[in-house]
Amino acid sequence: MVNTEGQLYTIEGFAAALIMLMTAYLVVNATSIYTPGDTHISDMQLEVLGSDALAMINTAPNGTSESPLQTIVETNDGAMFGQIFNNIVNNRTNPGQDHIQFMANVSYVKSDNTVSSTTLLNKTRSLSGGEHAVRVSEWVIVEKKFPDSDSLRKRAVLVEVLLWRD
Amino acid sequence: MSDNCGNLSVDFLAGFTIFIIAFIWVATMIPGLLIGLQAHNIDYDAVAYRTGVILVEDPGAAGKVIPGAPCYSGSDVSTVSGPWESQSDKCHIARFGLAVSKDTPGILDENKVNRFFCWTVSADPNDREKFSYPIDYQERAIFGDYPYRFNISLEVAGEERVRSIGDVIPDGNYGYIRRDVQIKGSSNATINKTIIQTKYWSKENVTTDVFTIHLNCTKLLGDIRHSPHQVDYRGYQIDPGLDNIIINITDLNTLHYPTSKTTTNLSSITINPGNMPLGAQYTYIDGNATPVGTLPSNVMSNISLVFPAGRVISDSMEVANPQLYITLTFKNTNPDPTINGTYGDWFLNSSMSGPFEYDYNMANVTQPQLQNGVLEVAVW
Amino acid sequence: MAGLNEDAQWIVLMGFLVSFSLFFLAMVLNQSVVVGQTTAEAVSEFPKDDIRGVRGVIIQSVYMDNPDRMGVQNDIRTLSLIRQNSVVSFSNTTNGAYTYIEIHYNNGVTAYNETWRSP
Repeated sequence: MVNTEGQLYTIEGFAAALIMLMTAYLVVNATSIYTPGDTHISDMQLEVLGSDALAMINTAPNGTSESPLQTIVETNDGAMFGQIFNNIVNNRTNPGQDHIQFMANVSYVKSDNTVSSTTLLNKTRSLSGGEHAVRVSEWVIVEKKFPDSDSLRKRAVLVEVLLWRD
Repeated sequence: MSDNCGNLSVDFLAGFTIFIIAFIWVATMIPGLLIGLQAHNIDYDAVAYRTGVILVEDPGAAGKVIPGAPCYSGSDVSTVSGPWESQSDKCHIARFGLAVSKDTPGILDENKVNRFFCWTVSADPNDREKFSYPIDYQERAIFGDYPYRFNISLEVAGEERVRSIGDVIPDGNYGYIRRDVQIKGSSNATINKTIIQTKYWSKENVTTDVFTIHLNCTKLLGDIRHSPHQVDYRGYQIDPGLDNIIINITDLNTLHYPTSKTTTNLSSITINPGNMPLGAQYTYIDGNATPVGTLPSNVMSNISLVFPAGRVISDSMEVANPQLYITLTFKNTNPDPTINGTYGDWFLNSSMSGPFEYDYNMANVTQPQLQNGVLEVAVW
Repeated sequence: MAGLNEDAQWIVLMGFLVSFSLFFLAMVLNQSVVVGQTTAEAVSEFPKDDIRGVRGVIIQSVYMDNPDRMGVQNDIRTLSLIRQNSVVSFSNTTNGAYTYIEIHYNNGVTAYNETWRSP
């Protein structure tokens, strides 16, 4: 009957319950919900699209003429670039256009061996909110004199385009 | 005797109850962790991206899907030769790929595109050419253990219909990638009145006229590799072994002089070397939609020779010959209605001026055009 | 303490068992969600288009004449370093009918080496 021997059942029951509840709490708390933006998949899709479009503009129509991108960089025709790039990058098989915005600039080497950029196509982008922007680039060899470079010569330049979805 | 000592102490019951309540509570929380988890759901986008890369940047491969596995009975061969789009048995295609070559990613070959989009739903085992959805595509383009459903669509500028393979895209969760591509068409030579009258109009009154078209394969393969296309020349190259060769000869009815004849007789077409009679299966006369059955045949104004990819080489029976001559022989067997007894008149003839060169001269040959297109892959 | 009944230790043991299996489950779930993300990150991290572009202009530059060639090759090295964070080095030799170009590219994470031969 009642004696001085103790038992630990209740305390051990409490202890076990506490352990399980703590673990469950930690586990449920730690599993994070990944938003689609965290997975960078949309970034990958945008980057692929941008580099495809740039490669297409940089392909000559036949074996002897120069590519449209070379002509655009040599004449600094930003409007033409905007029109061509927009048609390619926003084209879909279903009817209706996609809504990808972009801006472009051209990086070149100055006579003092530093790198500078000129704007090819400007577009304002809201710096707060919105999705990530992705940068794609394409190498072009053009014959052009840039404002603060030495002379008219054949040079390798990098056309860089920043893309984002509105 | 009975006493009122129980088997289980109250202490034990209290402890055990607390434990069980906590255990039940945790057990009901666990399914909440598993809500968002479906194994194959996660990588739809990755599979779509991979398929997009395989189709747009890889030229494909002929061979067996599983090396060494036997093919449908009677169609096994020891070595598979030629590009994948020219294999008549789909068992000899290891992997799909639409790019012209591995150095021209983004430029698709129209023969590969045409073959790729030739599909059906029911798998008739006797049809060795058409691909059946989805199994043939899963083995050769989608890959992976899980049987993904998919939809691959291609829209080409200038074509009305969008080409498409697969199911309708569902409303729910699916992986998606979009690629911008260019499709390389075939070259063609249109030999019209201007070209003929400048160079190939024989002013002798002969009864047999011979017109030869020369394909200098060495020059065709080599001339295009000049700067700046050392790497991507395959996007602009005319390759008689892989591309279609189309030759249109028009305005023939305007060449007769001084007679007033309107027709002539095309007696034969041969390909040299090999002197193989071409057989009339590639020849279309006067705008007819079906090839002329047999030669000789009367011609009024147009002749079209449409060689499918590689045939102009394979039909010459000389697989690696660098010089090919296609010779058309015209016999003026119809007498002139206005001049008594005269058979000969001026006509198309290349004997004096030399054969017509099918090469990269844009004045004579329309070069392969690059058409813009969009390829979309959806996987679910 | 000798009088304490320690039979109840199995309750705590069961509690621990359930906890450990919860931890294991959570780890498995945690790794699975990340699969899609790491694929996309791996794709973006590999500089496929950069390498293709640099390789294309290097090969074009070898077929240019001096003085254009030196200017273009210097441009390639400088722009690659400053804008694409990669070091490129290349050299060419001619052996009979073929031209060989050795290309080395390294952006700190990916290294690419090629000996290109003219077709």
